[in-house]
Amino acid sequence: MTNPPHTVLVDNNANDVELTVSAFSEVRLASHIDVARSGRDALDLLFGRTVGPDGLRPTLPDLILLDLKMPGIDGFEVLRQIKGAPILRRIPVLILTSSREDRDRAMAYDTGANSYLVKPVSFEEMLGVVTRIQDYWLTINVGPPHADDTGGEART
Amino acid sequence: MNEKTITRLLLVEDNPGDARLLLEMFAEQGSGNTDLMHVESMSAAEKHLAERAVDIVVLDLGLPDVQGLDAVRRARAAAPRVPLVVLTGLDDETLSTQAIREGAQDYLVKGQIETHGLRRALRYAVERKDIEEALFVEKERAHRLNEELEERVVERTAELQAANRELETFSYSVSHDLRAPLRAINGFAAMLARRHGEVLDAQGRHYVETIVSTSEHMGVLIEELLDYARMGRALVRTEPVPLDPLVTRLRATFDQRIAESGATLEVIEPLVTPVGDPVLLERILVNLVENALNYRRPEVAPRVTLSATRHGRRVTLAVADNGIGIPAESHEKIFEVFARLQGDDTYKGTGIGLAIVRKAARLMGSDVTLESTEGEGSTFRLELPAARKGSTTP
Repeated sequence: MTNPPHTVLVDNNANDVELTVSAFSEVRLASHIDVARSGRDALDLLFGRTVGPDGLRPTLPDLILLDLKMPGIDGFEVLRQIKGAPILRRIPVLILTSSREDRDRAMAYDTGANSYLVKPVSFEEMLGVVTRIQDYWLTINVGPPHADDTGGEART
Repeated sequence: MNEKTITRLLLVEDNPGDARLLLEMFAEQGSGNTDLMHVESMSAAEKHLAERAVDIVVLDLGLPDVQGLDAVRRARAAAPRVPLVVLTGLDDETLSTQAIREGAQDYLVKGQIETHGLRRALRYAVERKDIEEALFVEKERAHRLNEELEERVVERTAELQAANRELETFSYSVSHDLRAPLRAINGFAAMLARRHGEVLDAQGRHYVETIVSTSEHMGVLIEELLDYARMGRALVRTEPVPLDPLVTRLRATFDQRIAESGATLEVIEPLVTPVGDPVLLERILVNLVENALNYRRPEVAPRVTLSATRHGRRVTLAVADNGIGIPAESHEKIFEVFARLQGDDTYKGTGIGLAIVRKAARLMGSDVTLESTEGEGSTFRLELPAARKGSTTP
């Protein structure tokens, strides 16, 4: 895990993005967050096709928070590509969506999502969710070793 | 009575003496333009019937190539729509009755035939066959109508399924699209309080808190409305639903609420196992217990009693409380969606809980009844078939 942990948030809703980022800061989550506002942007970011503000290719994140319903390339397609890429597939992906539908949950897990979180209406509850993400995924959980994109790739 | 003239008669008789006698009698009582034909075996008869139409067949049951009921069967097969009269001997009462059962219209006893009886028998045979035919046509029609009905049912079911799917998509996007702005309202109000609370006076903070709480309430409303709309979309199951594990989950769900309000949740053992849908049943009990704990009298510790008692082959599930009760005039209204008797400040609720309970009960072929006295408490009851003993495993 990088220090501070590096999280990528993928969500097309501007309000939700702002609130999620605010929630992270309200619980003083020590995490650097990169935001992708569309499926396309997310893939560009994760596959290293974009460069960071420092002109360098961003490092692989420790955690990905992924919304499902986005126009164009949706969350399922992003998830499929992440889990299909040897370099990215090990990274824990937490679905963060407003859908509680069975078929979405089924598809998400079938495609390899590591967790499924439903966005609560209540911001207070969201703070609880974010705290637990920090506690579980970024503290207790021992993340995967990153696949080396020059040599030893992740084994299939 | 429609007197059909018998113009073509086929006699199947191998005994020449008998045949001559019968032919004479037929000729005597005929109207002169009766076409009398005579063959001496079943195969000849079959050939004849295949080539020509006849109005009636008179059949001896003792032929060289077939006898008894087999003869009847073959004759029927050769000319199913033609009236059939069989000739039997004096001692063949049983055979005669059997022949009728096999489809002959009448029988004549050889040696006991006289002209009037013969004429009547033949005519009646034709009448009876007519009636049979009419019945047959009716049956065919009924069968066709039935098929048409079945087709229509299949069509309607497809229509309903399509409408259902539409509702599904609609409910889904409603919930998704309504919740997003609610999240924003709630979230930004909360952030306002957190980050700029210090520039707000008490009144200002109250405003913001109200925005936060009411938007959360609306979130719950949407959830419950969605549940209500989608209930019954999945196939309603009919199976034994053991209540003990359900009660354990209930206690876990309401554990904190119960402790905080000094309430008691009492279960009357044994809980007889009902037959129904496990998901719907659990929903009913959760909602009823929730209400029981919620609509309490402030000065009295809530006491909720859950029971499932056998009455013959039925089980009556009951959730009773000692809360505020429901006035008689509202006993029906209270099951309607959004129906609330209490203001929001006294008791929190969505007004959908009981609508869900009733819909769930009706989906299982039952209903919920209410017994309540204002100021004393309420008992909600639901009747379901009892599971047969030893069938508690779903």
